[in-house]
Amino acid sequence: MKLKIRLFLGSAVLASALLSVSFAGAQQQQAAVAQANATYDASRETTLVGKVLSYTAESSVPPMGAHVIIQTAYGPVDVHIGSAKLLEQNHFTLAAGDSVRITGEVISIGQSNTFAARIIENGTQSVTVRNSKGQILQMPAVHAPRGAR
Amino acid sequence: MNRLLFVLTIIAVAWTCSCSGGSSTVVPPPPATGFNNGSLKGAYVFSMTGTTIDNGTSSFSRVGVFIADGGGGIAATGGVEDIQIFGGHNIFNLTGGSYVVNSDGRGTLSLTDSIGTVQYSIALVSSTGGYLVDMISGDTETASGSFSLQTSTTMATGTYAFDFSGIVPDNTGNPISIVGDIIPNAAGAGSFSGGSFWDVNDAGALSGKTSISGGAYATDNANPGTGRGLANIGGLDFVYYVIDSRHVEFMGIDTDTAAPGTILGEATAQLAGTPNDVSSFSNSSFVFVMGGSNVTDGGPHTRAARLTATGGALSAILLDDNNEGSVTSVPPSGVLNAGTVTLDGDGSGRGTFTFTQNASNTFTFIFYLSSATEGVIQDVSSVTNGGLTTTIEVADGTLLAQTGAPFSSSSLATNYAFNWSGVSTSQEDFVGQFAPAHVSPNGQVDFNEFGQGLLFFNNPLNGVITVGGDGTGSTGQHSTFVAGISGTPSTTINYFAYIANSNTILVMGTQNSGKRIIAGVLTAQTP
Repeated sequence: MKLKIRLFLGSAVLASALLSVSFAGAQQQQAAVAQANATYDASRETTLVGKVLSYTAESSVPPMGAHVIIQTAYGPVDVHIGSAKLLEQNHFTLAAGDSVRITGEVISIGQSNTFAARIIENGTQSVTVRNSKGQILQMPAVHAPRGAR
Repeated sequence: MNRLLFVLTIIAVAWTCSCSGGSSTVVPPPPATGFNNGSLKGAYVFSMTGTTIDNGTSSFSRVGVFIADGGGGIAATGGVEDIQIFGGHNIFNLTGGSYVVNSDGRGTLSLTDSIGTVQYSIALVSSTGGYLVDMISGDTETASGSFSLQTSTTMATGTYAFDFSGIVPDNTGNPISIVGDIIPNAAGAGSFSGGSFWDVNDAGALSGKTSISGGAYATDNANPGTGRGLANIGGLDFVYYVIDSRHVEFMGIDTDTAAPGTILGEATAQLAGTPNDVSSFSNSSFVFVMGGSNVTDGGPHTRAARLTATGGALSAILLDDNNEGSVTSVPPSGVLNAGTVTLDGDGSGRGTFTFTQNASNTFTFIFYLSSATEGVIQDVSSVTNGGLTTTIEVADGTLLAQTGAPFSSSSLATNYAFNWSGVSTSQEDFVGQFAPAHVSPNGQVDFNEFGQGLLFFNNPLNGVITVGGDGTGSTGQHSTFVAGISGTPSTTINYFAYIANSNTILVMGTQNSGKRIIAGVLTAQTP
């Protein structure tokens, strides 16, 4: 019984979170602020299952980097992958129509909330794009140059 | 009158046709500024940090010293470099190389060691230093940094403010920022006196002000005359190179193979008159730019700001934030006029800036001053959400006093050398030069987009600095810098420009498309 309740609550939270990150609009954005987490916690991870609607290596929508939009039972979800170079190096591709499973969590970055992927499975292929602390693999920091003399 | 207009139009059309030269585009040559190979002569300490791929990806750093002969040659002896890569430390003697300095101060530099030769693109600020970008061919690698004329090889006594950043060498892969002060107790070799402190931001975990007295440092007698030495600071091992009586370059050398990292930074000795009490601040304006990564998912993050300190109060606060492509200004318009500044008053130069945007967002920065006009600064700001307070980012950078205001387009320097470093699909580095008042294009740029075939040389650049209001930002009016890069590939990079003085402008990328997070500095050239 406890397990069922937990699953139900988990689904409700996930659905709410996904709706928040999927649709623009002031009310949804406000709701997402309350639900998204400022830090990644692998114990809160959920898994999305759906078909790829589109993939972009350089999204014009923050957070920067690769994004994939997948069609789930809850509607379309914009998933932040991070480093497109990491996918290239692992010969991992995403194309419209692919059936994928994505493990991750909704997090808040700057002014945006996003479903942050940690593991992406496409058929028999699998790639880990974040570590267990949620940090994007192969995404360097900015080194602010110092003034030369 | 109409006849005069007609004649002028004909003349204008004829002039345009004569200049266009058929289908080819005539690009005016970049303005000469008076540099040549003789501008680079002597021993120069160089340092850089970047990313490389070689059976894996690693951040890496290089620090060392090369000797330029003033005629295009690099000495076969006397030069040495240390490289921290894939979590291991390596030292190589430089065995030669060459360089070319063009009249605009841009050029190329090749440094050879027993492994091979690395090519760099350079831009001289003066004969005492400049910027460089790693443009090695055949590898997927990029890095950028600076080089400075070496005038001393022994670490002097004094209180040095320092800023080290990178990946903590403890196999966690965590981003780290360390700012602090060290007090060498003797010239050349010794330990660090009481009063030496640091503040560490390790993936958002804050150490607070912590004593690091003790440790050790010593000149490397195996490489005499190079300024090279080894140090242990707060339990971390470093190699260092002395630049002059005030500046020392440090690089972490602890083994860290599980999550290869590197930390790099500079220490600057305090000058007499460095503020020790907030009563020293009287309408004292500062600007800063910092780079790093956010705590949420490690994505790239930059911040730039200006503020005015009077006694213990802050006013005229304007901050710009680019968190993984999400660009915001604090406040959205105008400035904040409430905040506090503190100074510890213990000679460390340590202090804090604090202000709030709302109940959720507290902005706190720790700085260590090396003079009344210069210091290093670390972000320890936090956000409170659902009762949980979290550090936002791991980032640090340069703090400069704003002097010589008001600024206008006529008070800008004639020529600027620059270095910008950022993240697009991966790390990217730019180095070049431009003359703001020259016709378009007014300069050139070399850049490395981290990949095979992604090295670009001599792309025309049109750099436009627009001074907003009096140029200080004190009313919330931004100054901007637009870098229009033509050729192949072409791109436009938009920046906010924080003018410290007519010779130094800090810039932070504002591209809201989410495709580039970048920061840099423009420095006036003096051949």
